Amino acid sequence: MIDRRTTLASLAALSLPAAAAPLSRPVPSSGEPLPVIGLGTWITFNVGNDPPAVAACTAVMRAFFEGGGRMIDSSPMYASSQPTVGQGLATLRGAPVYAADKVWTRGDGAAQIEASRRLWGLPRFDLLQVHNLLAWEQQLPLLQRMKAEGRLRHVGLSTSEGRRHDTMEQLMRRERLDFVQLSYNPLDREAEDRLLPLAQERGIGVIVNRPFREGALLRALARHPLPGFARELQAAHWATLVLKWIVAHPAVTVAIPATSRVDHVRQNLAAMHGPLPDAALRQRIAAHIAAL
Amino acid sequence: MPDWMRYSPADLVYVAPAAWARLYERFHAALWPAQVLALGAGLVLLVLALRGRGWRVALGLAALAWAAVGAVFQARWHAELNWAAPALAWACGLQALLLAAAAAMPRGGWASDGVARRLGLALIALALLAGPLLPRHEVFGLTPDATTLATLGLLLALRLGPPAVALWPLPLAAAALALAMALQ
Repeated sequence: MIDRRTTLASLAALSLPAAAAPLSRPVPSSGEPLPVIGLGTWITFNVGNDPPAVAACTAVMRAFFEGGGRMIDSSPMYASSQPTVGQGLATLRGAPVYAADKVWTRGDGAAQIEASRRLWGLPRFDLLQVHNLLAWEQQLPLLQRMKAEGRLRHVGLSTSEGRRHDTMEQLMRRERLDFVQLSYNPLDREAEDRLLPLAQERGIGVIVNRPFREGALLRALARHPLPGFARELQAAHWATLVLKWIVAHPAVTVAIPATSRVDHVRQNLAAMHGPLPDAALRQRIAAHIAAL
Repeated sequence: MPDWMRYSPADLVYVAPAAWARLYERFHAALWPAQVLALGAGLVLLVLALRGRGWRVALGLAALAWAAVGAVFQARWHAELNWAAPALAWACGLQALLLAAAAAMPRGGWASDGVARRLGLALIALALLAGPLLPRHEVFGLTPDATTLATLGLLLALRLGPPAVALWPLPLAAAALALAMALQ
């Protein structure tokens, strides 16, 4: 179903010269293009009822949208991150957000989703995922019903830190899914073994969380100079290089780094421009980072 | 690797240090001058412990402290950042009831001078005197860590009957959680 936000985003992408348009990948199930860098909200947007902190998060969102980003991902598990996003969207009216959230309960998933929707201040979500596969037996059919009724565009599952990959694999083989979300970065490559190839085979989009191991990877890399091939890839920062490595995998649709800083958002979004490493260079990059 | 091995203390972290510091800053600003009352109650507890008198009053003060931390800090403020805070508020309420029940026990008193009593007095003093000097101002009776530390000190300094073993689990769990998060 085409809605106002999707139409505006598509028109905006078409109006840019091809050279300046940020890198997008199609959602495999629908063909809709999505910019490959999104915005996560775990911890970074959990700022409570603190007006200056909420305003700072809104500034991050503004920079994100201005830089061509669309997917914002959150969850009821992230405490005040949802209302923080909602307040940002209310301030940045008409932002072309692709709203990705999660259901995270063994209880009434529909009620939780409705509460989340009100916090975001949107008529509906673009994507809902069963968070960490919690009660998937109950919640996945709920999301599939919502999609069939036109109340949701995309359905997915999420996990992180390599957990529950066996169950994820079974469900990817058995269920009709639009997205899976999982952790993947140059040090955490377990998903390459089965899940990423399976996602390509089954036409399932992949959202990558923890691209920087919640900052720990970048803090470790910051002590070292950028390698020479970063220049070839037009990556002026470690964050840009790592994200280019991630989105260069053909199975990846979007990576969702989280940040509370405008300058970091811009470094992340820079991964949507310029060349991406080929398979051989990806191996070199991963080996280089692992050796540091 | 089995899933349970993929969990670490880092998974306990749900808020950035800056957001946590701001919560305390806003909390203290909103509650001022309640800190004066709380510090006064804490000093009364410390003096009672040093003099070895009024053990029931000391337990009663600790009970009030836990009730206040639960009702105000956990239920109203911490709940902004942590979906589990309402459950923590109830746990504080339970600890308050246990402490109040201990104060009503027929037998009890201060421990005789020894390692346990001295350690207990040191922890109470640390919580009451050093806590407020920390950047985020931990205050007995208002914030969880100072209240937990003072309570552990109180329990070490007291000689109570066997049922008092029920007083230990919640403060110990709170202390372990605070330590695990502080180390991240």
